[in-house]
Formats: sequence, C-alpha cells, structure tokens
Amino acid sequence: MIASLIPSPASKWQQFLGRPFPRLVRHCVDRIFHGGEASDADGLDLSIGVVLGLLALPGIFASLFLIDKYGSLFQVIRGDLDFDPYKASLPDEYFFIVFSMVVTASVAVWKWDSLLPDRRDYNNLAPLPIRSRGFFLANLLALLLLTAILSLDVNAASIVLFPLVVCGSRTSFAYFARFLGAHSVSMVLGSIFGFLLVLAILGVLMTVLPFRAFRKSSLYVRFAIILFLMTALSTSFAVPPMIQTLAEHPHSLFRLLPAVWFLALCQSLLGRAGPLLHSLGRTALVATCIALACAVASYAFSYHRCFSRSSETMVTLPAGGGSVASWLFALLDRLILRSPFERASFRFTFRALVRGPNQALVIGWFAGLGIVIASQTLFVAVSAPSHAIERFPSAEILSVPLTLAYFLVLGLRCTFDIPANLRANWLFRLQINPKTRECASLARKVVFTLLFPGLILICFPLYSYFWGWRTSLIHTAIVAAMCVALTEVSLTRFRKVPFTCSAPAFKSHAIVAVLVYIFGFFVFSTFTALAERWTLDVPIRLLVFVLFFPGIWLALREWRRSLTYVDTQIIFEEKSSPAVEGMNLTYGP
Amino acid sequence: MIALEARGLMKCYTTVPAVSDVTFSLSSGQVLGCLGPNGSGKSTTVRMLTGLLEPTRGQVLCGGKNIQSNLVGYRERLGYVPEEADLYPFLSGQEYLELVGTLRGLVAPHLGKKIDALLELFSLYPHRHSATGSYSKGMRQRILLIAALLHDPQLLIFDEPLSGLDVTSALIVKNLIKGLGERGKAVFYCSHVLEVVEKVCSHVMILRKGRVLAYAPTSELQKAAGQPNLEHAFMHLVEGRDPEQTARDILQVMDGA
Repeated sequence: MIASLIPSPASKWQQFLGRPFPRLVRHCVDRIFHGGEASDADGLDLSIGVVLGLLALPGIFASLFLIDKYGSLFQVIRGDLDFDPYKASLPDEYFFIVFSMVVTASVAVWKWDSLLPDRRDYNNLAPLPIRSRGFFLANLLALLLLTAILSLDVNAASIVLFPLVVCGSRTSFAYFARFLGAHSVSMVLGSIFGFLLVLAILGVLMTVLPFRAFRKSSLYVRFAIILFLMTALSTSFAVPPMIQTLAEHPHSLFRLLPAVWFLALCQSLLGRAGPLLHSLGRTALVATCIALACAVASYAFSYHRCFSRSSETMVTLPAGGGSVASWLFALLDRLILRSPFERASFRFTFRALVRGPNQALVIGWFAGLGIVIASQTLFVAVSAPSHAIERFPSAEILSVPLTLAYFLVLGLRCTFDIPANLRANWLFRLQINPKTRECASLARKVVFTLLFPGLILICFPLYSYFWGWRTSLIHTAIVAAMCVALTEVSLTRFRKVPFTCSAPAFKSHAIVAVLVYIFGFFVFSTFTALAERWTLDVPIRLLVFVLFFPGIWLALREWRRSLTYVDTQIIFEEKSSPAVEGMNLTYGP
Repeated sequence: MIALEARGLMKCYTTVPAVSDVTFSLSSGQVLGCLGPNGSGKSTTVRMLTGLLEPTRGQVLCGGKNIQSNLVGYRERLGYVPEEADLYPFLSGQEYLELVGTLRGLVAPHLGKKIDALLELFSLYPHRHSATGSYSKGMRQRILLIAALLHDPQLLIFDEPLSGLDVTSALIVKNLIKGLGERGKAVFYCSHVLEVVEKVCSHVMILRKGRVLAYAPTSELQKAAGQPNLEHAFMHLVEGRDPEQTARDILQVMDGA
C-alpha cells in the first residue's frame, strides 16, 4: 500500500524529463540528429537508433576479420610460436584508432548544419519564455552528450571484440584486462578528439567569418574535411611500419598525425612505449583537452555572435554566383550546350551539385574512396623493391587515373538520384516536355565537363613528364575513351533531370548492384590497366582498344533503340516495384 | 489598462533606418491592426514588440516596464504567431505543441487535454501524429496558432495569421480574434488583407517607409481620409499611384515581350 504511494524510479525519471530544461536538452539532441535549418521532409532522415546501429557495425566486422591473424590454431599452422599479441596488434590498433576518429568526425561533418543553433531554432524558441543562457547550456549539454554517446557507440563492438580476438590465445585475465583498458581509452579519446575538432572548426569559422562568408565557405570546408579524413584513412596501412621505427627518426613528420598520438597513448598504457611514444601519448591527452576547450569556447562565441543576433542576420542572405561562373556558362553555351533545356538544366545541375549539402557530401565520399584506393595503389607501386622509372609505367600506375575517374563517374551518377528540395521540382514538371530525350545528354555533359579538364590538365602533363608525350597521349586517350564508355553504360535508361526526381527506394537488388559496381571497378581499373600495359610493349596491340570502343558504342546504340516509349519518358517520381508482378500472359490486342 | 506601449521605436540595420519613431499604445480588449506595403517596417516592428529584436532607439513597455528588463517574464504573457511557419519538420504536430507547452511550464495532464481539444477544434486531430514536414502551409499555420493560444496569454501578436488558411479556418480565426478582444486580451494584428483588418480591428495603424502614417480607430480613419472603406483609405494614404493604371502598364509591357 505504502509502496504504491512512493513514486517508482521510472516515474521519477519521467517526471524529471518532463521539466522544461531536460525537455529542452532532449529537443536539442533530436534536432541535431534530424538535421538543422536546411533539412526538409524529402531529405534522408534516419532515426537515432538506426544511425547508432549502423555506426557500430564496422567495428564488429573489422574485429571478426582479424580472427585468423590472432587465433592460436592459425599461429601453429603458420609456425609462429613466439607470437606476441601486443606487438602484432600495433597496425590493427592504429587502423581502429584512425577508423573511429574518421567515423565520429564524419558524423560531425554530416550534422554540420545542425550542431549549432540556427535560424529555425531562433524562430521557434526565441519567442518562448526561455533564458538565452538556458538554451545555450541545453545545446552544449546535448553536444557533449552526443559526443560521448557517439564515441562509445562507434567503438562499442571493437572495444570488446578486438581485445577478445587479440588476447584469445592467452589464458591470463590480467593480460586481457590491460589490453582492454588501453585499447578502450585510446579509442574513445581518439573519437572524442575527432568530433570535437570538427566542432571547433565549425565554431571558429562561425565566429570569425561574416555570416554571408560562413554560409558560402561552409560547404567547401566540409568537402575539404571529408577529403582529409579519407586521406587519413588511406594512411592507416602505410603508417604503422613507420611508427615502429619512429624512435630512430624522432623528427619524422608522422609524429604530427593525431592518430599516432592516440596509438602512442595506447602503447604507454600497455607499458610498451619508449620516451618518444610516452611524450606523444601525453600529447594525445593535452590535444583532447585543447579540442574540448576550443570547441566550447568557439561554441560560446558563435552562439553570442550568430544565434543571439539571428533576427538581425535574417535580412542578409548569401548572394548568388559571380562573374567567373557566368563567363564559364557562356563559354559552355557556345561549345556544348545547344538547346534551351540543356542550358537551363545544366546551370541548375551545376549549382545544385556545388551548393547542395547532401550532394556535395556524397560526391566527397566517392572522391575520398577513390583517393584512398588510388593512393594505396600508388603507394604499393612506388614502394616496390624494384621500383625505378621504366620505359613504360606499370599497370598499378596506369590504374590510378582510371580508379579516380571510375569513382567520380559513379559518384556523379549516384548523386544525380538525390533530390534537391523535391517540392520545388514543379518548375521542371510544368516546363519540360515529358517526351524530351535530352536528359541523358545533359547528364553526360555534366560528367564530361567535370572529368575531362582534370584528364587534360593533370593526367596528360604528369604522364608526359615521366614517360614522354606519346605514352601519355595513348594513356589519356584510353582513360578518356573508357570514361565515355562507363558514362554511357551508367546513363542507359537515365530519364530524369538531375536532382529533380524522388530518391529511388532501397530495392532487393541493391546488393547485386553493389557487387556489380565492385566487379565493374576491377574490369574498369585493374583489367584495363593490365591490358594497356600489355599493349604498350607492342603498339600493334592497340588495335584491341581501337576495335573494342566502337563495339561498345554500337552495342549501346542498339540497346537504346530497343527501349520502349515508356522507358524513354522523363520521370519525376521513382516508382517502387510492386510486391506481386503480373506476367502479362494474356494474348490479345 | 495599457497592455503594450511603443515609444519612439527606431531600428537601423546598417545606417538606413528600417523603422523610425513608431509610437502607439495597445490597451486590454483592443485589437490593433497594423497595415503597410511591403518594406514598410511591419515585420521589424513586430520583432521589436516580441523582443526578438532590440530597438536602436526607443522602448517597448509592458505594464509600464521596458520589456528588455525582464524578457522572460514578458514572453510568459505573450502569444506570438510569426509570419513564416518554420516548424521542426521531424516533430509531429502533437510533439511540437508538447514541446512548446512544456517550455512554457504547463503541466502534463492539463497540457495534453488542452492540446487534444485545440487540435480537434482546428481540424488537426487526425494528423496529430504526422511529421510537420509533411503538413501543408495552412496546417503549419494552424499549429502555430494553437501554440500561441496554449497558455492563454494576455497579449497576442499575430503576423499574417491567415496566410495559407482555407476559408473555414480563416473565418474561425477572424471570429477568434474578435472573441479574444472581447475577453479583454490585447491583440496586435499585422496583415495585408484590408477587409479583415476592417472587420476585426478596433484600431488601425498604417506604416509607410518605416514611419507611422496614421494611427486611429478604424471608423475614424475612414472618415478622416474621406473614403467609403479601409481599402480606399489605405490607397489614398499610402499609394501615390493608380493601381488600375499600373495594371494597364503591365499589360502593355507584356504585349511588347
């Protein structure tokens, strides 16, 4: 009887959450996860649980893939009886640290627009009876809470699984516990550092730059951070051997990499660090504290400067493009853009690609992946023992521009499917003749405009410098022809104005599509590079390529002709496939 | 009793004043309509009245005290419907209202009942669990109206509250504003729709280029301007050009295109 009168901890907690300040903190967490001012109903919106689940997944797979390296049975099979798990885990530890930093920093970049309060918050919350410092503290608390949750979530699986995998062959619990402690501390701190660093950059930019300049530069800064993170990930296999010899080269530039500091911290906690690693481990702790201080300070300044004065900045929105862009468009009008549809849609597509946050991030992700693979390939080619500038470049070196081009073309193709403010597509729906067949042509021109300047201005001069202009010309021509073929293949049945159609739903054949992309990468990049290397030795073999490209072109032309009228009509909505599909077996008119 | 008073309000964004020397008072039970062409300073005035914008000069008084001295206390008594229905698209209508109610310090069981009742009356109850991102403009506007009325404020500031509303909802809101005035609430009503202002407001203030051009009871304003209705009075006072002639000019330009 008496027990029923005393409120349970759960109901007390509910009561507490119902109070204004905790409710405000909860709201701030929600608004960070669900996007800021730029978000709308059409955007990709995942629940908090799904996001956290997705972020935790890679840690599980990465840990499980390492079982064969650390399993005692595999050690016996390999004849490695003096196996030292701590020593052997150093490269993997480095990879896990880099990976967790990259993931948490990427989340911060993804949520860039919603980390700090914006105009929508001002519109909704400023007229309510909340003290300005109340909202400031609520959002700060939400940010710190999110940093902690993300850092734990991203590393949750690997914190438990990786030590289990590494120390599984040892019976001592102390051995395992020590590794678990060192690994978890360095991983979580590394993640926190990654997130806070991006937050600090955002806060500083918001504080230092005028509102208009901040809005304009924001996208480019995010793009640069994504590229930097992908490059950092690409070093995760190359750096560990250098760390093992760091004591011999104390002034090596590798000691400036943040991931190296956290690896050094891990080694310090394991009791395996020399004086240099000890000092780098301390740097990790100091850097985390500095990142936290910078993030909080810049948040406070930006809050005071931007949020508290939102009402004043409402009237000054960023201005549009400059004279360089209009000059470039005028030139393209004369060279490649023929119809009014192409001219108008090309401008729209380019602007959406450059200014749309989701589009830029997807392109950044693809470009980053391309850079990671290309740099790994280049690193392997350059660090080979027999490496010297030969008469012709090796297949690995030939594959580098092919790899970059593959990811750029594929990235653009995927980005074209992401809508940019779908509600505004009524303009295209009203203006465009649905029978127009210029969509693929438009998309093709966008891809080529982004691709060919790089080929001509970077690829050709670089290969000319090292291997002479003839080899370079052949290589550039083959890369260009392969890109044209890839673009044509990827744009078959493309019948939409980029960014104006609803996003395709996740389909059952998406996994097959991913496998096709992976297979396509090997054909496009690895196989083509090998074939090209083979033809360079005997020039007559170039005939293979000369015959191959017209063959592809003819096959695609025939396939396009076979498409029905419905398959060529322009679309603004992706229709999901029905659960049950009729087979149209009825014979008749 | 004077509920809200503006004394010599002035706001400069750069060096050019957006609003200059705006003075008026609003008593309890009074509905004051604020009219003016685009760029006349209506929104800036409203933002200063709500405390969202600090005046460069002058002050807004509530109960004789400058609102800036106790902004939180002032906002507890204020209900505000902004011009732009910019809601959080990830929250449902009910969740949004619960958020506003909780932040206003309303307690759970009472708040829930009130929200349900108002959602029902504004025909939003069937859509209460849908995300506001999927709402039409009129539905978002109705959510804002409910949010402004939840805590039964003494002072209401409406900035274009009929924007996007269907005919029935607009009629309900017009009657509601009248009713609020009759119940002793002070209402500041900003609009472009002259006939609504004429029917609903006891007093009218006309702004032009950031200055008060006229401020009087609605009936007196028509008489003073020597015009049969508010539309004509407004055109007489504010617009220097003939709208019919301008329309003809536009048609002529179109012919030449």
